[in-house]
Parts: sequence; structure tokens; C-alpha cells
Amino acid sequence: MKSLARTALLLTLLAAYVATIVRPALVAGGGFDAVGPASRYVELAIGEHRYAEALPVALDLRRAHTGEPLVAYWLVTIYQGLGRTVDARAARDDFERLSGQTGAANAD
Amino acid sequence: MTPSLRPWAAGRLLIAGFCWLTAAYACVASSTFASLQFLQPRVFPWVGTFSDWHVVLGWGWLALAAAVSWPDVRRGGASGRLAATVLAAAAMAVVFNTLSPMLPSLAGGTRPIVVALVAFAIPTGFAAVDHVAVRGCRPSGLPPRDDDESRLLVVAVASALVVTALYAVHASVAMAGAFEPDLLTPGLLTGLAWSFADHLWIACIVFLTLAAIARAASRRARFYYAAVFVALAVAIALAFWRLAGTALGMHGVPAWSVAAGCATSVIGTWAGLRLRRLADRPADRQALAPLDIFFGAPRHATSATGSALGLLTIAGLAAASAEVARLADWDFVLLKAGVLVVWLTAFGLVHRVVTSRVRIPLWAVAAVCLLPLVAQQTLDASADQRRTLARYEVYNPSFRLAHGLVHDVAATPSFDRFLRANTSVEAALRPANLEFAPSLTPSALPEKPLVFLFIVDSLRPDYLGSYNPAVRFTPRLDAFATESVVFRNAFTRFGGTGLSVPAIWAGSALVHKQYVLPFHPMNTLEKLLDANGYRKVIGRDSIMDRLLEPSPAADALDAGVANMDYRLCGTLEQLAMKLDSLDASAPVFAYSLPQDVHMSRLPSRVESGPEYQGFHAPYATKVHAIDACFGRFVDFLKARGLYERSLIVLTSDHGEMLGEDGRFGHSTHLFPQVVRVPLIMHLPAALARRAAVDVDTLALSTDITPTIYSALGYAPVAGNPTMGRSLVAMDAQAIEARRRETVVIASSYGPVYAVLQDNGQRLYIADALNSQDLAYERAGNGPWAGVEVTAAERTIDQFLIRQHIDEVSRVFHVDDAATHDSQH
Repeated sequence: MKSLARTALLLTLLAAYVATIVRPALVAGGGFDAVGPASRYVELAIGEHRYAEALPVALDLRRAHTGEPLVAYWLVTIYQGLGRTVDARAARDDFERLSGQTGAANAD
Repeated sequence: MTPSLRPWAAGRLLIAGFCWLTAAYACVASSTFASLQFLQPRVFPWVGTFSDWHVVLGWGWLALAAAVSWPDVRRGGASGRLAATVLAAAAMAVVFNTLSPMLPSLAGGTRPIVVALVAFAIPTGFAAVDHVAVRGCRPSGLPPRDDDESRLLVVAVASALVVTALYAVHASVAMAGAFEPDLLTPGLLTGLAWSFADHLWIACIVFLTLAAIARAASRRARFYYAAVFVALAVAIALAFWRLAGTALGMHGVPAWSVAAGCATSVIGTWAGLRLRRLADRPADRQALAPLDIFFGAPRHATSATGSALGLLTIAGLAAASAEVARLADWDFVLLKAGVLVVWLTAFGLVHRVVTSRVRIPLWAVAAVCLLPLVAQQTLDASADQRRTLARYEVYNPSFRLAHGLVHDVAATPSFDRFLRANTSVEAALRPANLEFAPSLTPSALPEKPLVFLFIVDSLRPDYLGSYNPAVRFTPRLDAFATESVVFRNAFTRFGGTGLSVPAIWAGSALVHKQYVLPFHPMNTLEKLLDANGYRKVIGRDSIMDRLLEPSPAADALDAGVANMDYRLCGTLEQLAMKLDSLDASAPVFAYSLPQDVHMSRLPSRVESGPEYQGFHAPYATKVHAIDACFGRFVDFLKARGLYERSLIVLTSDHGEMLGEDGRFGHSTHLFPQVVRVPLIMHLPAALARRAAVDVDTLALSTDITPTIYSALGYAPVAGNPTMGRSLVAMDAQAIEARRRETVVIASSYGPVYAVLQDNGQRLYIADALNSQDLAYERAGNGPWAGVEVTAAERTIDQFLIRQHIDEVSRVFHVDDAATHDSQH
């Protein structure tokens, strides 16, 4: 019985160590993916100045990932590209709120 | 070991060593960039000599293998038959290698992987012979006992203590004389505490793994032995994959195959030799646990002197591996490999010394194992502590490795994968047509300037007096600078020569591939020279030799000299003689990539004069040497009346780490010391009068070629955003645009990218090799300081890197190639 308890303890501790190794990879696997297909579509469209095509996909991603600052940053770029300055300013506010940094989006 | 076994074991180690060296060469050759940049230019001459003599050495190796295997073959039986088979396979490999010498022909692709696997397989075969030969002599398994387990915990914890203490002393010695305000007594204590916690974390997971194996094995000795063998092999394979595999850009099945081959070969040889020894000395086999096969059984009679000698040996090993890594390393691969060897050796020593069989209660086992785990999960270093620990890592390589293993978590793993996928592109690409002047007709200038392009490999601007007033050893270069334009804010477009030099010729950032051939459509400088009938006097280094078109209007500089032996002094003397012999009216272009200050060519020690104080003396002395030669060349041009007709560009392809943060060389680094370059341009008098220059505006190495276009009277226009701009024809608007521009820089040799912003005042580095990012800032031309990367900055900077990669892919048709590949 004692031996069984010792085995169980050792295995539990080993599992805890292994969990700390694999957990970050598992956590990173979920949620928003900046290089997923939809994200890539938006960024390629931005790079080719096809802002009107990028906008609906970016808005879909914003609805799916409300807390993601990158999507807000895309929207800043897209609205600037479309000449929608009011929307761009709102998106910039959104980005600064989500990323917790004032003025970071002004570089562009 | 009996006297007869010792030479036999030495022979076996020689056999394995030759195979491992062959495999190591093949692994390096499997990387196109490493093959082109290290093996072919013979950066380390002995590696080239090994390749040259590999066939001959192979026959000597086969003779040794036959001699060492002969006792097994003669004895017959299963081991004899196996030994004969392995020997026959080895003989076939040697014959094949003689008919078609392998090593000199390896350069990228799958052949080097096959060679490495074969080379690893041969020692594995001999290890299999060992295992079969000692069958029946192997120790019988014993049931795991609580006191065995307790002893294992004591060994693991004591090993962590020994390694922590050993490297703490090592750090103190290495730090002697250094000014480290973060590492005063409180800082050192912080470093020591974190170091012990991290080493203890690793010790505990090792203990728990081995204890779990022992319990799972119960009385099954073979299973127990096999499980320990596999556990050690997995550890070695992971280390190989993480250190060597990633550094060489190996991934996927080839990477894992080679890692598995290496691990099996190393652990098999280790176990085989240990088993032979046990068979030779039956007394040692009494009550032996499988772990003892690898590390030796506890010795009750070990003296304090013996233990102290063992410790001293390990300390010597640690110091020696650090010294070797200081002389030649690649992003700490050798340093960390050395630390791993020290860890294993320390564990082995402690394993033999600790003999106590005290039974540690369950709660104490739990407490010891939980302590580092809880510390890892709950302790969060403050910004000050992180700075202290970063400095402590510089002097304590074991802490660097342990801290990385325990705490480094990829912040953005999918981004790292994206960078890896877009680095060292394997798809065949057709060249893009790059142009600064759409229809390149000869220049209308009545007298075309002589153009000299000197790219001094690895030259740092802060080792020149024109950039750093503290420098007292470059008087001639400083005098040249006063007659020239010194661009104070210049950066390379690529870290590492492999892509930096082609990018200078192209005047553009390039797709990450070595190389897109033919290069000529992208070679805007060569097109300019050809269109204007320039006589080209060129040092055809190992890179440009592949990329330049054969031309009857070309003279070779340093003909017959190996690229790594190019020296500026010799090159300039030769160039002066050629200029004297050439038609004075014809325009001349000269180019060289001298290696005087390349890390592999620096002396290990020099007599350090007072003028080198505060500088890396071996490097400074070389800069001092080229200074005088350059001055003589300027005198020569002046004496011939050519100086005022000349455009002389003195720059480098990248900088160099000279001990900052414990790093030497340039590797895949994009630290400020590596990406900043000197850029001094002496303009022909006619151009100097009309040039519009802002020396403080961000200048890039890819701006050199468009500036040469300007010098010949063209108005260069960048055909796409990856191309450079002329530095002597910028109006106020262009200067303002350049100051606001964000520029992405890449390492030539790995998935490491950087973003330069704020007119070169801020540098963000995304390192997908080490899964980390860093940022540096400076005010004006002041020193760079590491700063925290905020989430917002990471978001924007990684977006900018992706945008750059997308732009490069568009310009260089990468997506077309990917589509083409997928369709076929």
C-alpha cells in the first residue's frame, strides 16, 4: 500500500512537471492565430492595397476575437487606406485600449 | 579496465570519433548556407583538411576497425557474425567513399543527411556487437527499493548543488575586472538563487523520470536497462535537435532522423564500452542497477582526495568548454553542448560518490520536488531582476542553459513557424528583374569616376575614429573620413555575409535564399558597370564568384588566394599595381571583401597596447593594421591624380559581437553591434559639389548601388519598396520619408528578423531560432540599451515583418514558385 502511494506521488509529480512543459504549447494552440488563413488573407490584401477586400474579413475576425489588438491595428491600416479617417481614429483608440499602450499605433 | 581492454576501448573511441566527425561535417554540409559560408571558404582550415584527407583517413580507420573487431570475429558466435557484418558494411562504405569521395561534394540537399545517418549507424553497429558479446554478463535486475530511490533523489539534488556552485565560481572568475553594476553582492545572490532553483527543477524532473522508469520496470532488468537507454537517448536527441538542428536550419523528418541517429550512436557507444568493462571485471557487476552501467556503481571507498580531483576535473571541463566556445561558436551551440557534458559528468561523479541509503520519507520527496516547480510557476522576476539575471547569464553558461530550459516559452509560436517557413526558401525561383534605370544607356558624364567598393567583412563603426572619438588607432582612415562623407547612421540589410554582399550588389533586399540563379537580372551594379564599359578588378570571393557573370573586361584581385585569406593590405598593393598597368582613360571598378577582422582570423591573444584599452584588442589590432594600408592606397591615388576622380566606398557587410553579453561573432545575430556598419564615401569632386546629403538620416547597405548610379549621373528610381535609395540625391521630402521609414533586416543564416524604426533609434528583434524577441533603443548616436518589448510593439513589429516578407515574396515570385511546386 505504501509502495502504491509512493508510486502515485512520483507519477503525479512527474505529470505536474510534464504539464508545465506542454501547457504553453497547448494554450498557444487555441484562440487567435496571426498567421492563420484568414489573417494571412487580410495581411496579403493590405500589402497589395486591396483594403476593400480586407475589410469584411478583418471585421469578421474582430467579432470572433474581440480582445485581439492585431485585428484593431489592421483596421487602423485598412481605414486609413480607404480614407475613412474617423473609423481609423476609432480603430486606433480600440488598438490602444486593447494593447494597453497609448500612441503605439501612430507610427503608421 | 585490464591493460588489454584500455587500448581496445581507445581504439573503439577513435573509430566512433571518426564517424562522428564525418557525421558532423555532413550535418553542416546539409545546410546550404553553412556549406557556402563555412565549408567552401574554409573558415576553419582544419575542417577543409579533414575533408581533403577523408578518403585516406578512411582506410586507416577501416584498418583500425578490423583490428579492434578481430577478437569478436575470431570468437565467432552471434557477436562474431554481427561484428563481421558491421565490418563488411564499413568496408563497403570506405570503398564507396574512395570511388566517389563524399565530403568534398556535399552541399545542401538530402545526400549529406544520408551520409550523416550512415556515419552514425556504424558506431551503432559496433555498439550492437558489444551488447551481443556481453550477453549473459549483464547484471541481473534488482527490484527498486525505497532507499535506492532516496539515494537517486540525493544524487539529483546534490548534482544540482555541485553544478550551481561550480558555475557560480566560474561566473565570479569570468567576471573579474568587468564593470557590472547589476552584479554587485545583491545581484550575485539573486543570480545564485535563481540558478539553484532552475538547476533543481531540472534535477527533479530527471529524478522523477528515472524513478518512474525504475518502478515501471520492477524486476524486468532488460526492460529497465532499455528504458534508461531510451531516456538518455531521447535527452541527447532533443539536445541535438534543439542545439545543432535548429542552428543548421534542419527540420522535419531529416532533423529527427539525424537526432535519433546521433543519440543512438552516442548512447550505444557509451553503454557498449561500459558493458565491455563490466564483462571484463565481473566483481563490478555485483548488485548493479542499470543506471550504474552508465555512470558507475557507488564506491564506498572513494576518498575525499578522489572526489576533489573529480570536482577539479569537472571544473576544468567547464572552463575549457567555455574557452573553446569563446574562440569559435555559433549562437552558444558549443557553449551549451559543453554545459550538457559537464552536467552529465557531474551527475556521474555524484552518482559514484553518494553511497548513503537513508530512506527519505514521502513528504520530504514531495516537498523537494514541489519546491522548484512552485518557484517556476509563481515567482515572476521584476524588471530589475530580469536585467540582473540577463547579466548573470553572460558569465554563467550553465544558468543560461538551465534558465532557458525552465522559463523560456515561445511568446508567439505561430509567428516563429511563419518566419521559419519563409527563411532559406527551398523552392526553385526565377530571378526578378531589378532596375534603377529602366533603359540603361551609357552615362552622359564626360569623365566617368573610378569606383572602389571595399567591404571589410565584420568591420564595426565604433572601431573607427570617425565614428567613435575614443578610437586612437585609425589615424589614416580618420583622415580619409575628413575628406569624405561619413554616414553616421548606417545599417546592413542582412546580418551575415551570405545575403548581405549580394544585397549590396543588387541594391535591394533579397529573397531569403542562397541563391536565385542566374543572379545577373537582379545585379543592378553589374548591369551599371557593363553598360558603362567599366574595367572590373574584382576579388572573386566565394559568394560573388557564383553570382557574377563571366566577363572579358574583368581582372582578378587575389587570384589563387582562398577567400578567407583575403587581406586588405595585399589586395590594395595588388590593386595599385593593376591601376598602374591599366589604360588611364578607361573607367575602373574595383571590389574586394577582405577578411582581416573576421572572427575566424583574429589572433587569440595580442600584446595589448594602451590605445586598445576599452576595446577588444585582437580585433582592434587588426583594424589598426588595415588603417595604415588604406592610408597608403589613398596616398597612391593622390600621387597618380586619381583621388579626385574616385568614388571610394568603405563599408562592411555586417558588424560583430566582441564579447557583448558573452557573445562573439555574428552568427544569426541582429544585435545593434551586428547590424550597424560603417559607411564612408569619398565622392568624386564633381559629385561632391552637387550632392545633397544628410549624414544623420538612416542609410542602408542597399543604398550603396543607387548612390553609385547617382555618381555616374543617373537619377536612380527604386522599382519596388525593397530597393535602396541614392544617398547623395535626397531632397528634403525624401529625407523626411526615410527618417519615418520602417526597415526590416534579416539574418542571412536563420529565421531572425529585425525592425528598424525612428530613423534607426529603435531596433526590435524577432528570433524564431530561440523563440524570443528583444528590443533596443538609443538617443541620437548614444549607446544602445535593451528595453522591454510591450504587447503593442510586438503586435505592430511582427506585422511589419510579415508585410516585408510578403513584399519580398511578391517581388521575387515566391508565391508563384510555391503554386508551381504544389501543382507538380
